[in-house]
Order: sequence, then structure tokens, then C-alpha cells
Amino acid sequence: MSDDVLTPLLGGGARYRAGARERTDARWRNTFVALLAAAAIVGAVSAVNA
Amino acid sequence: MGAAGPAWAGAGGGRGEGARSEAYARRLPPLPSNPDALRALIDPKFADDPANCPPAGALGAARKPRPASPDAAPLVRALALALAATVVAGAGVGMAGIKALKAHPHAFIAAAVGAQVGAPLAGAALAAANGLPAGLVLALLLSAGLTAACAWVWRDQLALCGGLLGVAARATTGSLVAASATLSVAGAAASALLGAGALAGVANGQLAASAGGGGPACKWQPAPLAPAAAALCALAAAWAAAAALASRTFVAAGAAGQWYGAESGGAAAVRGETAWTSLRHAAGPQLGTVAAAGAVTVAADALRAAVDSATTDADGRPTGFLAALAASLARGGLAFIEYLTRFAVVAAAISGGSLLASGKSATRLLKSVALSAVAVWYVPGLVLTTAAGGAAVLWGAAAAVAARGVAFPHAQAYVGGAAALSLFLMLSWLAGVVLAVVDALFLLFALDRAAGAAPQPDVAAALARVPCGVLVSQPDGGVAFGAGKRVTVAELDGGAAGAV
Repeated sequence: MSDDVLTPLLGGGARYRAGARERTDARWRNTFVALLAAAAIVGAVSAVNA
Repeated sequence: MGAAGPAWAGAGGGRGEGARSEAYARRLPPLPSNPDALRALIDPKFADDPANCPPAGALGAARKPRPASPDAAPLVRALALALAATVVAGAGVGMAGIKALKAHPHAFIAAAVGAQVGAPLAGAALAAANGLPAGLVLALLLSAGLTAACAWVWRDQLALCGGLLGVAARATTGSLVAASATLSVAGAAASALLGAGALAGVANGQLAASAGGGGPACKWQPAPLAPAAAALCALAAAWAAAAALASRTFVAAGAAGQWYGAESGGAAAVRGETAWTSLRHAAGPQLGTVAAAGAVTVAADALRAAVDSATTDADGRPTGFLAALAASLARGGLAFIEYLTRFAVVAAAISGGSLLASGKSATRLLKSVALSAVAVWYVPGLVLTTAAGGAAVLWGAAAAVAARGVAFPHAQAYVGGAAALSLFLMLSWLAGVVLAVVDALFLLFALDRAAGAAPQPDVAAALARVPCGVLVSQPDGGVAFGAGKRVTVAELDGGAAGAV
């Protein structure tokens, strides 16, 4: 297997190596957190006003 | 939308009154003083009654007094008690179910199938005893017969399913259930709060008398920006819920990977790691991975809804052959994307990679071992859902009997229904954890096969008989393997080992 991600799993008997601290999904994480924070603020304001 | 103030604002005559009314509309009246908001949104007939509309220009004028509703306190108490009992019972039944699956998987399958056949039979007997129409009795008998026939035709698959679920139940550890429960409660709480925010956004506004004509007497007038605020909160709630579901798959796959590694002799590599480690990964360094998976799910759901509304008329019927064909193709494509995303999450949990890289790797791996279909094989899910449904019906009936003394109209139906639904949701959630473990074990098995390593013996024994075939669409729109070409993994190993 010439697979960058899964190859480490196959060596040395260590099949499980989660949490390799990949940061390529960082933009998704930032968008997700920002949207949740914005919605929480907007929801709170709506609830106060409603 | 709604920027011009309520329609009745200018109908009161005086200019001052109109200006005051607009100011009132912009002030977004607080919920306690705006009790009609939810009523008007939930009950479409509410707005049809002119007595519920504010009279033109007369804010706060006396409205028709509504008939006093019966005191709901006894019902609320009974519902709270039933839900609390359901949480305890659900935990007990769920853990007992996992234990039963571990010890006697084939007996579990037999009991689930037996319940599916027995329930319509019992219904038919009850219907016949109570003198209900013969057509109903016949339909129930036919349903029981068809289910029994299906179980007989599928007996090999059911036996295989027993093996799969048995080994998955062994990997479903207590810490996995606890971590998944924590995650799900947090996800549900976040979604509920955001959903409440969306509801509050929608409730910003007021009922206003219609301009006239033959329509309803009054209509809901949203405050400026209220629809946008509600949409933002609804999107966030949907994304949070989808990300929580993806996290559940992630945690189950991570824990299954640990179990698999430990069982295969890699214990040194995973010592001290539990499902909580996976949960920390999902909430920390790989939050973006589960967020991206959730975004794919939300987008696929939105696209599916858009396709459905674009290709069907108001009654839900397709607008034409081409439209039906296009909708079917689109639904199949979206289901496939969701399936790949699910495997991408599983692979990301095992490897620690990003969603896209893991998805590509998993797809390549599954293609290389010619086993692309088992994850969407619906028999394990069907068996677990049936078991959950049977337990929920029994629990709901018991709760309804227990609630016979509650002084509220139809209290037994409310309490029984709430208890059954909540237990079903709990057990379905647990079934989802077990099914995610099945997916993860399948991927780990495929990894070992691709690497030429000896897979974990129990997993290998359970998966070696999985039939492989072409993907076909099921009647319900799902995708599953086609039974037309029966090839087992063992045969693939013998006949097509060079492909790996």
C-alpha cells in the first residue's frame, strides 16, 4: 500500500494510531466553531427579544 | 420581509397610531406577552379565527376569552417520571442486549426475527378476538407470513449477521458506551439550544390582521431579520447534530481500532487508551474532521430535500418520468456520498488523518479488496432496529398501564407513546454505536488483508463469509450489495489473491 495515511497503521504491530494531530481540517473546524458561536449569540438575542 | 410593519398598523386611522404600532412591531414583544407566537406557528387554524387577531389599530384590546384547558400538571409529572424510568430502563436493556449479543448472537437474531413474526400474529389474534374487520386480520397474518418467508430465504445472511454483531458487541466496551452517551447528550443539548434559538427567532413577530380578501383572518408578521436569525440558528443546530452523529461514528471506530489492536497482539501500542481517548481526539485535534463530515451530511440532506421538492408536486408525486429518474439518480449519488463519508470518518478515527485523505485511502483500500458493499448491508441494522422496536412497544405498553390513574384526557396514550419513543431512540442510538463498530472492524480487517497480515481471528471468522457482489438500489432507496453473485471472502482469497 502506498498510502500516506494508513501506512503507519501497518507497521510494527501498532494498528491503531488515532489522533495524529492532522491539521488539514482546521478550516472546517474554524467555520464550525464560528457558526456555532454566531448562532448562539443570535439565538440568545432572539430569545431575549421574542 | 416584514420591514414594513404589520398590515393592521395603518388601518387604525390616525398617523400616530400607525407609527406607534410599527414601533411596537420593531420592539419584538417578549414571549410571555406574546403567547400567540407558538400557537400561531404550530396550529394553522389559529390564525383563521378573527377573535385571535388584534383588532385594527387597537393593540392589547381584549380578545375572546379562551376555554380553560384541563390542568396539565398531572400529565407533566407522569411524563417526567416515565422519561426518568425510561433512561434507567434503556441503560439496563441496552447493556443487557449487548451482553446477550456477546454471549448468544445467534439466539439474539432468532429472538429478533421471532418478535417480528410474532408481533403481527399477536395483533391478528387480538384483532380477531375483538371482532375487528377480517381484512385487517388477513393483512396482519400476511405480514407475519411474509416476514417468516423472508427470514427463511435469508437464513444464511442472518447467521452471518449473528457472527458480525457478536464480534462487534465484544468490541463495544463499557467505556465506548459511556463516551458515546456523553457525546450524544452534549450534541443533543447543543442542538436543542440552537433549535430553541431558531424557534425564538421565528417567534419574533406578531399576529396581524390580514388586509382582507378570502384568506385567513390574520397572519403571522415576522419581525425584521427574524427569518434570517432563525435560519442561522437552524443551520447551526443541524450542523451540530450531524457533527455529533459523525463523532459517534468516530469514537466507536477509534475504540474498535483499539480493541482490534489489543486483540491482535498490539496491546503495547494501545495500553491505557480507551474510548475517552477517541472522544478527546474528536473534540480536539480532529474536531475539524467530524465538522467536515457533518457538513457533508447537512449538505446532502439539503440537496435531497431540494431535489425532492423540485421533482415532485404538492402531493409528493413525481412530476414526470424524467423528473423521477433524475431524482432517483440524485438520491443514489447522495446516498453513496454519505456512505463514503461514513467510511472516511471511520478511517480518520483509526489513522488520525484528515477527512479527505482518509476517505480517499479507505475508498482505495475497499476497492483493492473488492469488499465495498458490506457496510451498507442492511441486515444487521434491520435486526437491531427490530429488537429496539419490540422492546419499545413492550415498554410503552407497560408505561401506558402504569399511567392509568393520571387525571388528564388521553394520558395513557401520551405517557405510553413518550416512553416507547424515548426507549426506541435510546436503543437505536446504541444500535448505531454497534453498527459503527461493525464498519470499523470491517475496515481494520480489510487493512490487514491488504497488508498481508493475519487479521484478528474472531473478526476474520465473522467476516470471512461476507458475500460480495454488485451494489444495487433497494426498494426503500438505500444501497446494498446485490445477492445475484455470491462470492465469499474466502473464495476471493483463493481465486483473486493477486488483486490485493
